[in-house]
Amino acid sequence: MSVTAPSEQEVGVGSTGDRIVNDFAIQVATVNGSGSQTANIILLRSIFQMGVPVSGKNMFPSNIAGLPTWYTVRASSKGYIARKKEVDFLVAMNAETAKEDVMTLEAGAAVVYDEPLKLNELRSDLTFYPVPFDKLIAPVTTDAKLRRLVRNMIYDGVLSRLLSIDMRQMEKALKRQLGKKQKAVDLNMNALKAGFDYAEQHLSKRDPYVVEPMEGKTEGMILIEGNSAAAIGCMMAGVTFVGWYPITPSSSLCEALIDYLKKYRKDPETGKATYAVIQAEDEIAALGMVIGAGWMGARAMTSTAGPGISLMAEFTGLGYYAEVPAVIFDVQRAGPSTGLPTRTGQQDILSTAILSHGDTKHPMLIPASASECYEFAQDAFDLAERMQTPVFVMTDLDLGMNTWMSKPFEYPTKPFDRGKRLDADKLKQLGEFARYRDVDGDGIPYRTVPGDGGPSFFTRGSGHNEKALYSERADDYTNNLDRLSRKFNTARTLVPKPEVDMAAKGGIGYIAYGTSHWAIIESRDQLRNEQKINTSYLRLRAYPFTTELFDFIDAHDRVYVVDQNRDSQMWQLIKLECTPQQVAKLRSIPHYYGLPIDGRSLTTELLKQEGR
Amino acid sequence: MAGKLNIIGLESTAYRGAKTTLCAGCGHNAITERIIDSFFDLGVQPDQVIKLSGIGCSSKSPAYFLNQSHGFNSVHGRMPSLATGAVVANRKMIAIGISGDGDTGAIGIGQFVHLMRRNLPIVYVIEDNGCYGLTKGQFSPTADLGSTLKTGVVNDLPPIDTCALAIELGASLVARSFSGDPKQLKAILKAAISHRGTSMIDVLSPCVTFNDHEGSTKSYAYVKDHDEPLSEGLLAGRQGEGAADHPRDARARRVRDRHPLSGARQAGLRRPARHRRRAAGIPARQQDASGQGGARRDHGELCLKGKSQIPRSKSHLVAVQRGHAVLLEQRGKVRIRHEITARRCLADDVPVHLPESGVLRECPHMRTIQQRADVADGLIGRQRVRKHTAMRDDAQLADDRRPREVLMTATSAAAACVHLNTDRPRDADCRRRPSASARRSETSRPNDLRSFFCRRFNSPSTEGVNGGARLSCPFTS
Repeated sequence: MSVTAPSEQEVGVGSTGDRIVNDFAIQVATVNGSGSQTANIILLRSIFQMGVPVSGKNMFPSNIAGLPTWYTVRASSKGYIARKKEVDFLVAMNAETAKEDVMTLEAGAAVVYDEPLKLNELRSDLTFYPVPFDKLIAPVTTDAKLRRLVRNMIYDGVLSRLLSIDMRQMEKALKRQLGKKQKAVDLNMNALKAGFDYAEQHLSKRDPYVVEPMEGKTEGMILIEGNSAAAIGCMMAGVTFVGWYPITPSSSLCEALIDYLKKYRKDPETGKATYAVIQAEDEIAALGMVIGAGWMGARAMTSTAGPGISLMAEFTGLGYYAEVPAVIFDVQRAGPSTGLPTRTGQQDILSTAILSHGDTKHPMLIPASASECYEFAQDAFDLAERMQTPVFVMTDLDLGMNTWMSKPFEYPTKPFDRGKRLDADKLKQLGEFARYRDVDGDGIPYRTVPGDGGPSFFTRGSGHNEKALYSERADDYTNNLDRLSRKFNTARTLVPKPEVDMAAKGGIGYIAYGTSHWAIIESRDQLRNEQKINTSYLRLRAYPFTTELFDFIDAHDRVYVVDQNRDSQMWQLIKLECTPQQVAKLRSIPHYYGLPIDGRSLTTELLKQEGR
Repeated sequence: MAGKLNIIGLESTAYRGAKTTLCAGCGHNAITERIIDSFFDLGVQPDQVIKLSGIGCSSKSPAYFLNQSHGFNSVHGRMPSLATGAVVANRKMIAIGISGDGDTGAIGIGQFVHLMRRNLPIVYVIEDNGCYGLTKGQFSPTADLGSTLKTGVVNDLPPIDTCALAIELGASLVARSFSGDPKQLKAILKAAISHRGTSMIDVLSPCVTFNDHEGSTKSYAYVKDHDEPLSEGLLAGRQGEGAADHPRDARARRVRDRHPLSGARQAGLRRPARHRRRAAGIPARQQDASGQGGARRDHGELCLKGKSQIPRSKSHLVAVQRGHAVLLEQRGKVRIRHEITARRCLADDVPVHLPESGVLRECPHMRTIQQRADVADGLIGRQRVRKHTAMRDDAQLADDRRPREVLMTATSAAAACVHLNTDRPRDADCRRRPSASARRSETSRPNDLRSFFCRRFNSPSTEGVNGGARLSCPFTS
């Protein structure tokens, strides 16, 4: 191979091509546990600070140290923040994956690599920049452990020079990341400069990729992970009880919440907590505690992922039948069983919608952005108390753990909806308290909670009548089940409505939900710009479905439902409620290899099914 | 009882529930009656109680008492988590959870274990009949080795001792009683209701339909025949010594003096006649059900008032209030001191903002370990209490053959407590498993002694007397 490989100076199509400004993806391939996350966040933030829309996606292993990990920073002047399928600029730091990483690049991409890896011998259609990382780090520090950690800052320095990323922004981002640790800042700054200086002296720019300052796209925006946004939402929703069990990718939600609660929910006078957090022994107990607290009148939540959802089935059924409010965040990950714990997916949709045995169904809120994580967290508590039932917020690893550009969150303006709580006046009006009697016709009964002074009742997961007394009578059972159905229909009027764009009435429609949204935006632009195909788009934001969904299907010839799972779970769920005419219009685009969905794949698949 | 009013002016009917649907003669019904009596005696407001349960015959019983209380009959084995969420969400309420031996020992053992660890203020009653009644009599995990089903099937697995588990894991009031002993059961229940921390009460409660035959070790006949109370002293709070100089003590003492348990102790709980006989040098009735000639029973004793009260029996139990328990045991020339330090009560550290009232509840904090050690020191006089700092390993224990004080680990202390409850003494190293052949030959390890072991006993609150027990902490204003 090396015989035919041209010398480094001759490589690179970019040297002759046009400049590509603010529209490319940088992928950093490292080993996890090597401290690359700091370098990656600084890279992301400094581009963001230059006014360029960015997204950062971490593809990491279910491991603490030693396995390959990839971090992708996408810069997009048009504001696309979905994953970009093609990598334009690779930083190859991991000897183990370097060869494969290079071989999968598209022609024209650029590669910064650790010099001893000799990657330039692999291909002739890429631009290679060798950097002797070990040599450069030597003068920065003598401490071997520190060397390993700050080594990654060198590539930030190299990229700063090669991509024209403002060093001052790098420095600002570094200081923000490391805070007041001056020693660490200095050390990292030195490494950053070492990389920059090396690139300035030894590497000549031969690729087309450039970052230039922009205006009007990132002003006032924030960078945040969905899990943190959801945590803030829970706090603003007045959560007082959290029962949780650690599981990737949901742990950071409760951990962020604990931090926020510690900071903002201590009684200012006594300094004591006004909330309770219990790390449970498993997910069964976590939801058990939440149901116990919800039954007691507290606003209670837990967060989990697929395996935890499986364990929570039992208590979810109890919460449904005994009608106890609870809020459960499902930060979805990929795979049956343990599956791919650190990969993303939307694979719990069907099982969560009807979680637990017997006839059950549960409301689900499906945020697509960090700001919706924040808003839906608040909506979920209101809905759970209004509906007196467990409510699920279905996010995913991509949204929960990756860094998203977002509008700042708005301070909540409406008061909490504590639902139908029986008070003295209402009791007088009703004459008699029957816990499960539908007095308002919406299927939602009145409840009391222990200690509120209202009449008591006996809550049970076994058959019960209107007065909450044990009953195995057929009419009691069916009356109760029918009322629960009525109640679920009431939820249709309470959940967030879908977002609809009817751009192509009579033609093609997209239906998607959650993080697929960002890929849909891009795919619709691609279809319009490249194929002159206009598409409509409906973004589902909740289950149960509302009339908008069925109107949308009626208004189009072909409707593509985009799922991030193999079995097209939302497509299946929609079909359950469709007329045969509507079912005939529905097509499915499943995406399920564990990485965030991208616009190009969607476009390709849609065109394939359209026969183009 | 008709017409008799309790301290808050309620008749006992106010504490009754729906008519029981359990079998006539079921031990669970007797327990239900004692629960009703206990709440009545203590003068607890019924609407300040929550009653929770899992699934099974036992778990039906919350419907049969305290009609005016909120109840929750949840899912099999999961009552502990439900109770955890509930008591943390509103700490004004008194929680009583009713479980069974299957609900606790089998499907719910994980949640049970962690409930004990957390030591939240919950009264946890196991109505223990050694079988699954509601599914028609299969063995449960507390069925004794060698006991038989009605069909003659022999149980070849050793039982789980829920009391030993609870002690080891940090429950702060652990007791075993018998549904056929109303006096003791009621006293224990009242102590449990007044206790702040987890009270675990395993109540042997024969199943008249499926487990009351010859060959069962959970039948009325067997339990009565093998019943030997370890002690019937009830700890009600010492009068002053040890921590008398603490500023909070004056108030705590006032509270104690009015504490219902003080009354309960004075009213009826005395050492049983055979213990008094033994103390006076009269030989006890020879009792050796398993035919182990020469096997000696150990006897525990609760000490109420410090060193002068420590009896000179072969081994004895000393319980110290406020988070510290000491067990003294004489084995031949070896005197063993087991020391267990109670953990802090989780609820004490997590005051909760109550959604309705917006009132932030103050909560008590446990004293520091050192303070507790001081209390213990005062109690047992010259015998210095060493703080439990490190786990001793097995090798060290095995080498300790000289007649001296041995500070054992919490783990072995718990095991030693189990030992107190068995017919046959075990090896000094409590953690050594008997050989396989020894286990085979051990046809029965009856679990038949009631023990009452109290580890932590906080002073009840003023409201404990007139407004329902332990509603606020006497240590905080």
